[in-house]
Amino acid sequence: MKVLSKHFGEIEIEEEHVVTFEKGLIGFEEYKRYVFIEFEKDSFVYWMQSIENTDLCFLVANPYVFKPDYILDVYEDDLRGIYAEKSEDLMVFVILNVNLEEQKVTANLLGPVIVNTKNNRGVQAVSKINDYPTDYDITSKVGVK
Amino acid sequence: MLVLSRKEEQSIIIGDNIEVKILSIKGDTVKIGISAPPELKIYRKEILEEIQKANIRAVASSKNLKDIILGKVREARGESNL
Repeated sequence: MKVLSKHFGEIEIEEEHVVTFEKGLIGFEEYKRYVFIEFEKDSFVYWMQSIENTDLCFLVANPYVFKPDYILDVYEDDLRGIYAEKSEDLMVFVILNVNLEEQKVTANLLGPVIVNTKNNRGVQAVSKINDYPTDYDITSKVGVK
Repeated sequence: MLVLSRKEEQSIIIGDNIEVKILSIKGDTVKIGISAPPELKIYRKEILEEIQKANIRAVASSKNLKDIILGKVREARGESNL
């Protein structure tokens, strides 16, 4: 199927690559279907593009690349919602925020995005570790300097 | 909204297995203890609001970033071999 993406124009995607977020993302509950587009080959950064709203596109990353001790501690309910059975099936992403004025890239460690790769179901969970920041500075890793 | 007045050490029972207890009241802060099944999600409302704000900022910040970041990621990868 053809999808209009924010940064790449029209792209062709396979239905089987669409990840469904039954509850949407926090604040964007009405949009439920996304595709992940690799930033570049073998990158740990992806565009997470809504296929229902061209303007809705997040930059997400694998947190373990820049924070190897990141702990995924979320409520069972969120994992049940994506029918998670094994942790090996799960991919974890954090949403990035790029502030050009401050030349800064931050990652939201508090609201991880979890995808069950077995059935392409996703959820944005709330970390039980409440002191994880929504603006963890990773500028030196994906620097905008 | 149901409104109830409670004193320290008094509780409210919700459904069959949720107890909300006022542990202490000091100044403008009320300490609340919640006994609930572990599968029940409980968090401070500000946490959700904070994530929502971060999501909204993230969408706004992804505008026109493609080229800028693409170059910088390559640079960073070259330096740190990520």
